[in-house]
Amino acid sequence: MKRVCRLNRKRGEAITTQTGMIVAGLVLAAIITLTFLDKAVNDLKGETLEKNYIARDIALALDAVYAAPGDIEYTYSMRDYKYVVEIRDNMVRVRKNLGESDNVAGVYDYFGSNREGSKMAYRIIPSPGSEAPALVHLGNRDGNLFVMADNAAVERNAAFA
Amino acid sequence: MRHLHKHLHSLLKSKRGISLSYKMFMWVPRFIYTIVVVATIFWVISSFIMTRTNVYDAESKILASAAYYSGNGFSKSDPDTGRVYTGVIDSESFSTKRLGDLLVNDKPLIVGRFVKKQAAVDYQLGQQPGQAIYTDKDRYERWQPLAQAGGKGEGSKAVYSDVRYAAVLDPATGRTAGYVVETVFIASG
Repeated sequence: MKRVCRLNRKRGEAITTQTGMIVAGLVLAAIITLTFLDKAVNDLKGETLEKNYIARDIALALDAVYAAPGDIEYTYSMRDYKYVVEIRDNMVRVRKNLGESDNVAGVYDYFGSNREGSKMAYRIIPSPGSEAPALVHLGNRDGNLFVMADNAAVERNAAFA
Repeated sequence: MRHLHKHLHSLLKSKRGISLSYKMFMWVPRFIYTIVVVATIFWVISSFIMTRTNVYDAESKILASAAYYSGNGFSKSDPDTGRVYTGVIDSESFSTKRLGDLLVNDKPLIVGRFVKKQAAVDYQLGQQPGQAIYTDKDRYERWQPLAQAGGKGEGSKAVYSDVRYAAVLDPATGRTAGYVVETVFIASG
C-alpha cells in the first residue's frame, strides 16, 4: 500500500511553512524580550535608580574631595547596598555584579587631574557575607585622589574591562 | 535526494512555488516589525519609570567651589606652606588656561563661566573691564542661546548661577580690590 505523505500535499506544505515561520517569529520575539527584560526588571525594582543615585553621590563626593585645599579623607558608607563600584577613566560605575553591562549600570562623571600618577583605576567589591556596610574612603593627598575601602575588596589598577 | 531536488525544482518553477516564495519573503518585514514593536513596548514602559537623579544644582556649586578652594584654582596660595587664601583671587591665576588645567577632564553635560567684575565702589573710582573665563568656551557659547530659550525636556539646557564677592590681588602692585565674581553653569538635560 502506497504511503501518503500529507506534508507533500499542497495544504500540508502551506501549513508546515506557515507554522515554521510563526514559531520562528515567536522565538525571535522571545529573544528580544529577554534582552530588554533585564533592564526593565531593574527599572521596575528600583535598582537602576539606586545605582544611578550612588554613582552620582560618589562622583560628587570625589569632586568635592578634589576641590578641597590640602589633604582630606571622606568616608562614604554604602549602607545595605552590595553593589560593585568601579572608579576609573574619570567615571564612577555602579553595578549589581561584575558581569553587568554598562547599559544597566549607574554611571556618572567626576573631575580629576591629568597629572602623571594621578589617574585612578579602582574596583570595590563588597564582602558578600558581611553584614557590616562597605565603607569607601575617598581622599586627596598632595593633589592626588585615592580610594580605599573597609568591609570590601579593593582591586587597584586592575586590567578590568 | 535526487527525488527531493527534482521536487523542489519543480515546486519553485510552478505557480504554487512562486506563491510560497512570496509568502516566505513577506515574513522578513514581519520579523522586523516584531523587533520594533517589542522594543517600543519596553521603551514606553521604561519611560514612565524614573531612573535618573538630577544633581546639576549641587554639582555646579561644587565645581564653582573647586576654583575657589583648590590649590590649583585661581585663589591666592602660599607656595611654601600650600595654604590657600579663599576669597582672595590672584589675577594672574584667573585665566581660562588655569581653569582648564584644574577641570581638565571635561564633564560632557555641564560647562561653566566665571566673570569677574569690579565692585560698585571701585567701579565708580575707576572703571576696569570685566574678565570672563570658561571651562569650555566653544560649548558654552553654543549652549548659551539654548539655555536662554528656557526649553524643557530632552536636550534642553538649564542654568545654575552663583555670585560671590572676592578680593582680587594684583601681584605687580600688591594691592587688592573688591570684585564680584558671577558664575554660571549650563547643564544639558
